[in-house]
Amino acid sequence: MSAHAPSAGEYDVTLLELVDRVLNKGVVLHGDITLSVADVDLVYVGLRALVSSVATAEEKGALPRMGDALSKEPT
Amino acid sequence: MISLVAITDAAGPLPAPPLRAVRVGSLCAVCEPASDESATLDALVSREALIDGLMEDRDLLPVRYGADVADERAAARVLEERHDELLAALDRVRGAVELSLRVRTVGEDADQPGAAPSGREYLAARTRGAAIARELHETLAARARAAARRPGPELLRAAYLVERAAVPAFVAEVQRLQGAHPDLALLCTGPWAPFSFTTEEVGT
Repeated sequence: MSAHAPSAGEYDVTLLELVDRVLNKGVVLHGDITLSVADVDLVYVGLRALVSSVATAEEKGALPRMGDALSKEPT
Repeated sequence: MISLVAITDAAGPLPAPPLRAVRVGSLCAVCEPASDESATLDALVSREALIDGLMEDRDLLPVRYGADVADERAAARVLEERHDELLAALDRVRGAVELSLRVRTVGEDADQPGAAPSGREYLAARTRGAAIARELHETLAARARAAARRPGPELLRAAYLVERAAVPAFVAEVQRLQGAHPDLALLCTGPWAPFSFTTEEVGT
């Protein structure tokens, strides 16, 4: 889609979109929800922490699976 | 424990182990062994990659992370109880994918709306921003089967349910809008599974 490599900001947005979707969206089915994500503020504080920890983990080459997420191209 | 990943009605081949397919009527729940760990980033990224792979050649409803049931019989009961509702939801997203958009004013941090010199200027800027956001959203919603605006600190945060074949045209429209608004940053990501369109109460 876009010719340029994703910037750090775009990368963060993509990751944020991913986490927001998997955790907060999708069909809610009967079952034991194993997460306590009732407090939205807490979730978002958590997301920020996650995003910064990803940056750290990436520098250390500790996130081999991130290529999958990066294929979601920001435009 | 097994974890529900996605609901589909595709007749295709069973997903490979460790994934398991639980079928009831025309519905199939794709399940994976539940993990003991909580929602680590790795787990979430890996879950999304799994759903991404499944959606390549089938329509599906992604299941919100954390829907764990005891066994395949319990998963089947979930499908039985909500069979018609889930089938209707699948019909609404059939053949479409989700694209996400966040629009920010250039240079503005997502968490801190730019400081305006005066209250009046701040209000004027807000009004202008709201009008532009509405215009962008309406333009893109016209190219989508469904659209959903979300509250957020950005000028616009929205998701669009777009026909698979119409994704390139949608992206081209985003790029055109970006060209027309150099003072804004339009960040479009996807295609995602239709996470934001699994229930009926999605507005435009």
